Amino acid sequence: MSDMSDPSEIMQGTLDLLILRALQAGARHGLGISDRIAQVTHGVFVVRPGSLFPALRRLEQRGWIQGSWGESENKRRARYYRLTPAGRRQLELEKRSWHKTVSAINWMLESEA
Amino acid sequence: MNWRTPVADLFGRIFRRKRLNNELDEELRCHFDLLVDRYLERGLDPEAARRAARAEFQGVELVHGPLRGDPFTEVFGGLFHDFRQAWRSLLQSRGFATVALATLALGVGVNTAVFSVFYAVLLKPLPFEQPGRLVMVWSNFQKTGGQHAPTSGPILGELERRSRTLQSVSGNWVTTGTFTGDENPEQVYVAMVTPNFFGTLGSRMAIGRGFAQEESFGGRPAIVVTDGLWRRRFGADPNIVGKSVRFRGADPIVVGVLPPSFRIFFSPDSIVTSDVQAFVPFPDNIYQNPPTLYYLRVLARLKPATSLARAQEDLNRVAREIRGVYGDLEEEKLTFTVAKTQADAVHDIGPAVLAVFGGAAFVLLICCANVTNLLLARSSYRRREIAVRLALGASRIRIVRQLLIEGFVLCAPASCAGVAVGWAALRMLIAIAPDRLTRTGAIGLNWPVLLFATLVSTAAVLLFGLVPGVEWLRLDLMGPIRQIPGSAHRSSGRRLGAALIVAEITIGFMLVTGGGLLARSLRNLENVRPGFEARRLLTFQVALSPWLYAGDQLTRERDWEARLAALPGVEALGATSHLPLADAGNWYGPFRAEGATRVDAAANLADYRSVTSGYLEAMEARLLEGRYFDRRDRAGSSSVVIVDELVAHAAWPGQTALGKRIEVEHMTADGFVPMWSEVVGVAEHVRNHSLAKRLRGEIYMPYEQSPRSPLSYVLRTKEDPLSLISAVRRELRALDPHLALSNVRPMESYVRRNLAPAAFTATLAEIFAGLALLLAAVGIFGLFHHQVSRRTREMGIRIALGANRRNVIGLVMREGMTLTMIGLLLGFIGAAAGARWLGSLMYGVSPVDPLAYSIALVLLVAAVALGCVGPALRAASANPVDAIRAE
Repeated sequence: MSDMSDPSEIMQGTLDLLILRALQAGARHGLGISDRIAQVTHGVFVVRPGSLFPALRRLEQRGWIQGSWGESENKRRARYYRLTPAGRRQLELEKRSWHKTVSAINWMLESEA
Repeated sequence: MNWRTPVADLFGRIFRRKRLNNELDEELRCHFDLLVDRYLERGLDPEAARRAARAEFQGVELVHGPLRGDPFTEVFGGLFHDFRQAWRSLLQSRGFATVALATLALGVGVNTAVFSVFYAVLLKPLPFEQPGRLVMVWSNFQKTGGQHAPTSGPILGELERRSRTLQSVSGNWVTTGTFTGDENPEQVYVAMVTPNFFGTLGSRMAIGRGFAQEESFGGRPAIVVTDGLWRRRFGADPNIVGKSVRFRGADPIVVGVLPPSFRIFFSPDSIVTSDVQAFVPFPDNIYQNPPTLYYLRVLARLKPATSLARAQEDLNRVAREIRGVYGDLEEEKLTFTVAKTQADAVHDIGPAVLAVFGGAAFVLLICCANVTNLLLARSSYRRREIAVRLALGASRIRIVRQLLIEGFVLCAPASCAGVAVGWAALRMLIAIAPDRLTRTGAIGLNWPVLLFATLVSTAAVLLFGLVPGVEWLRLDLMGPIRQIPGSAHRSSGRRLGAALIVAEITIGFMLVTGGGLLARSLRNLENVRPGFEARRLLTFQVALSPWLYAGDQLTRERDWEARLAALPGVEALGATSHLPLADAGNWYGPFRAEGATRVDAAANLADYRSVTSGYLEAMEARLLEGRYFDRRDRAGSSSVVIVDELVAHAAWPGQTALGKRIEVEHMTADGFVPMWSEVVGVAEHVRNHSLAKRLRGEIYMPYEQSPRSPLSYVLRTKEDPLSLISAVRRELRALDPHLALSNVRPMESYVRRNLAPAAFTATLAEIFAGLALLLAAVGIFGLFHHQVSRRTREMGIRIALGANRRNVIGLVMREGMTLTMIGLLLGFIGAAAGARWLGSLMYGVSPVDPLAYSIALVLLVAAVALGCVGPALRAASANPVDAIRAE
């Protein structure tokens, strides 16, 4: 199990896609998002605050997610993010383009040498 | 949209950034707490939990980067940083900075100084109430060709009655008068005015009041004095109002004292000098003068919100009506011209000031071209830097901002230095300016001038910031990074640099040609014969009015001339009512030649001069026919005149004038009276008003037949004329202690004063031409120096391949001369077009004078060659091995 602790080393859009996808089911706070990503990717991606927060900030500035203050399950203050309608559209777009890329790469890898 | 919105928005952005950062901190703290909670749940002790959480937070400080994507932050964030960087990069290239700064300071300085004059002469409002509504009304006699002429009393009355656009109409006439009554008689210029004169101007008295209606036309005698006269002659007596003073043989009562700021402004050809020191109402009813006695200068005030065009239309109608009433005026086809007082006062000097201003603007353009070229040269060294920055993600707005800041860091100190240079230049300018310029009012650095300097500098910042920027923003990122430094490549920057050099040579050629044309005009004017010999001629004025009032002026004047003639060192002498080129008062009117019909007579106007018998000989005015006046021409003997060649030709073309009779106006005890007189001589024309123009013919009358006061005496001396002054004063005191000498000056000083505007424009044009040459040489040196240093490798290879030094020098010189030829061609076209615009400033020179053009050509080619030589030699000394190794 490799620890991809710095997602910026992989393609730039990937982290955004992961975050958007993590928020599709509902609002989460920062730690919730990185937990969700680690859980679903079986720990392949562990997103640390140093990468997470710039990404959140970027996504918020683009209007794809929106943050608001709330209370966490253990009664602590936390900032929750939810997808905006634009964010949903963006997620669909990125998903499609990701699938296309992956299929293309797969075809290449599985073709006769 | 509310004006507050953009401001609130601006502040909102500044504070939002802060708020966002605070929120971010808050969020990170919460996140940290959540992490600590989690590690605690996993069973770590609190200390270890915090350590683990901190470990995860590594790199979080990066989150606090600039918030990209916010346009406000993009443009205004990190300003201080950019300023510091611009300052440092300027310090790094001190040579560049010094040359650019000096060039800019020169350009801004020259323009600030010249604009100060331009503003004071042409733009600064006159110090009267609502000066924009003050107008002059001039009469035009289309038949006689008299433009810009004064009017008569009856016409003034008609103007007042009939015009619908003039609120008040005043008339004035300037003459001289002497204050007597104590040991120090003093002669001053005095304006006779209609009682509404000060009301029309809209000026208030410092003490007392203006004239009342009952003080005019021979009513109670009254006088208004200027602040200067009040202080000098009346010891600033605060109770002066109500006291009587002895003036012009009467005892008028002082009714008012004008404030120190009061000055009247009329054009010099209006013969209303600004040195007027006293004002009196007209002593006779001017409305009952003959309708063709033209001497009144009309100053009027437009009704509120009346345009000049409407007033002109109105006066055209008034002229039509008046022509219907007066038969004489119908013959002369009288019309009126209405002109703003301010524009009218400077109409003669305006073209000179405009030309100088245009020349200064050209110098500024050359300075700007030079600095832009320097910046371009520098920017090409920085292409790689910029390309790397763009590649690393700097936004283009950010790069442009930095360029503007660099422009500002360069221009701000240059502008300050420029204003200092301007201040110094202005001192020199005023020192050489003709008195016509300085008489109009104080010239100085004031707010409008500083505003102008700021505008010029701001334009320079934008220009210098953006020109290199345009090139950079089109930059192909990989090109410059990959590029081998020093290889020859034809960039847009180099083309722009060449274009700037061509422009510099074009403008330079125009300036040098203009300088040449104006210098030649000055030389021609200096060589004009004014109709007399100005050297070794002392002139002074004496008001003989006390003798006139006593009735013995003729004998006493003869006695006085005899005393002067007996002085050692005096070769000849005489006197005239009006000295040539003195511009203080004039006497002119119509004349009628015998046999001519009344209509033809109206076509002839001449300057009248009352002269004593020795005058024309003392002036060395050549006699073409007949004789000078002599002792035969006494009061009571038959009336005679001498006319000049212009009058003789106009009245009797193709015939001799001698023995012909002519009707002229004589000055008698009853005022001006037309009288038939016989022509006894024809003299050469004297340029009474301007060295450049033959304005009108002259008619001379013997003083004894047409006595006037004051008289201007001319003494032809053996030595320096000024050495005689004290002897002349002594004689006059011995003869009559009540008389005063005034305007004691050598004749040459009047000639010099008349040359002053031409000398002023010529001197400035030569300075501008010199600057243009210097700047062109510096500019071309800068461009080639830069190009050659970038082409070291090319030169090295050429030399390695067998080119000799001469070929390489030729290569550089050839490029320089190609640019020069293009520039000269454009400059020739520009100069030929521009010279026409110099128009009235040129005298006796063709706008395409071959000499001026050839000199400009030679000088510019020499300047360019000088600029090319250094870089060419440097190119030729390129060592092939070093050049190639330098890569």
